[in-house]
Amino acid sequence: MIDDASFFLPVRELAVRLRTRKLGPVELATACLDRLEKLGPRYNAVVTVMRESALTDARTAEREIAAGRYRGLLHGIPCGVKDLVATKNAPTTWGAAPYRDQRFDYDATAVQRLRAAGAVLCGKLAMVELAGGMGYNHADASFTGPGLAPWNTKFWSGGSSSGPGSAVAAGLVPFAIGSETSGSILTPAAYSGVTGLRPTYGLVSRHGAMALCWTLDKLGPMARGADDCAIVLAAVAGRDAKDESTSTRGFAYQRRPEPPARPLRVAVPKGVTDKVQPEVRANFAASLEALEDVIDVTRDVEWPDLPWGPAVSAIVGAEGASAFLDLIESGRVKELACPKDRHGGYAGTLIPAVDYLQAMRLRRPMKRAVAALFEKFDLVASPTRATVAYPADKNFEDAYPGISGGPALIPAGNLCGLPALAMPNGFGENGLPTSIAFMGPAFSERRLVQLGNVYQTRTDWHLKRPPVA
Amino acid sequence: MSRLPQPPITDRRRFLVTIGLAGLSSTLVPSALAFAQSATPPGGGAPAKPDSAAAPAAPAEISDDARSLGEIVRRRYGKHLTPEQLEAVIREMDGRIQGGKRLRETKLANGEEPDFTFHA
Repeated sequence: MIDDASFFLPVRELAVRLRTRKLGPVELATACLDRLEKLGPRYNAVVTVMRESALTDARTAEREIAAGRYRGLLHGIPCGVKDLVATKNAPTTWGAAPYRDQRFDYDATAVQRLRAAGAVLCGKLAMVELAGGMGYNHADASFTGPGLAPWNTKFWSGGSSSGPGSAVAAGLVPFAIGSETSGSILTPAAYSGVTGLRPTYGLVSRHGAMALCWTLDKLGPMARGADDCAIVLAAVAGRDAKDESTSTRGFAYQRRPEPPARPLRVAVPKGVTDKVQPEVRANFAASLEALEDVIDVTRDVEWPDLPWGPAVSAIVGAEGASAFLDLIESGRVKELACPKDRHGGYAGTLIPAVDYLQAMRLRRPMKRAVAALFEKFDLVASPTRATVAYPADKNFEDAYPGISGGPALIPAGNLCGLPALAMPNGFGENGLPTSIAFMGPAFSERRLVQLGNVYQTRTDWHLKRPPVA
Repeated sequence: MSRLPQPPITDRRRFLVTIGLAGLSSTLVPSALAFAQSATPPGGGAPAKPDSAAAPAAPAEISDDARSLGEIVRRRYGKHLTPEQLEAVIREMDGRIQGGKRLRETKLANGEEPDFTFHA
């Protein structure tokens, strides 16, 4: 019998138990499968529980570990993937009714690599339909229902990786793979109170993942802590011949216990806390204070004044309309759950090519502007979101009037393909988590994780458990 | 031709609505809010408050360009759309036209290529 606390252990601690055979992969997988089945529906977190294949994989892991063929820290660790990642032994629904019976006869590269590392894939996790590409404005935007925060189920778990966020938060799986086009890992990490790592564009293969926007989509880990995220990223990162955008750089990771050799220069852009919720502001300040001996903070840094929002809007609008043109033109978008999604794709079909190309041309000066900033600073810090999670029963625009997060860091980071780490840093309204984000230059994941490890050694927000019965 | 009254683009709520309609989201909210955030004046000034304390916003017209594009949508996809949905699409078009203007305001050198590379 596994005690409840074990479901909230970091990957590294579970790995020790598995390697030393104090815990068996079959026992652990069975318990996670049971939780996915029993508790998953409470948060609308799960699309498919993969009991049969998971137990097969767990038995293999058990035999290998017993025989001394230990593959590494993910060997025997249960996990889930957002249901836009193709798997050959379960449907891949993209969160959308028109695709609820869709099947692929192959595993996405990320899934292949997780399996190769010995991870046990237990379930396909819920998501906002089509990763939000049709313009949803309400939590109830998935054929599996609104993703709900385990901290308070009257509130959204965030999107579009809603299932990975709530499943990790509720201890249904120790880690999950989410995806981000513009905010879809960071936001559910923040709203669900877990750690999310958005990798540099091209670090993780997109092969087998639903395409919303070829030049923005990224897969990345969501887990208890930064260390977990790095362990998972190391397993899935690297060049893939099936995805030309992938980098040869890869990501090797070994946890370094010591803080950075010199204080990291951290920029806090002007305006990032001016209009956020009071608890978000206070928790952000406390987080920086907790790191004061390892970071050198410069406040009120001017963020480059470029049309970040319109650029990401034009690119997602045009690429999304192209990616789902058949669905839009056939009228089958009317089968989507969110009323706004039923018409949201049509305007994208008429975005002028010049606007799309202008946005794509702007990405070069945008990258130069941000690169210039990163010559003076190692990282940029901000609250991940200006508010706690949105109420599940309200349109987003009606949730928190008057609240704003300042500069458009999420669109900017995604347009420039930059990595970011979101970590829980306290609680705000209605007992919901708040979060801090650090963003760095391309391929700075190691530095982000190192700082994240320092923060999570000094605080325990990432170890807090929601009231899961 | 009927025209829905709209608050000005500088109104935050209107901006959010515009963005929401703009189908921007892979996480609509993050993107939408960030988009709205990007509309703050240079130097990080505050956008107009949409709460009850704020002065009521003057209605804004949907542009003729958006109406014209809306007519194309009606001809191509009208059978899939209710009149209310078509009107929402037109409002989104208007937001996209405003966004396009912002994209074109940034001058780019002739040699500034789109950030993707074609390989033969």
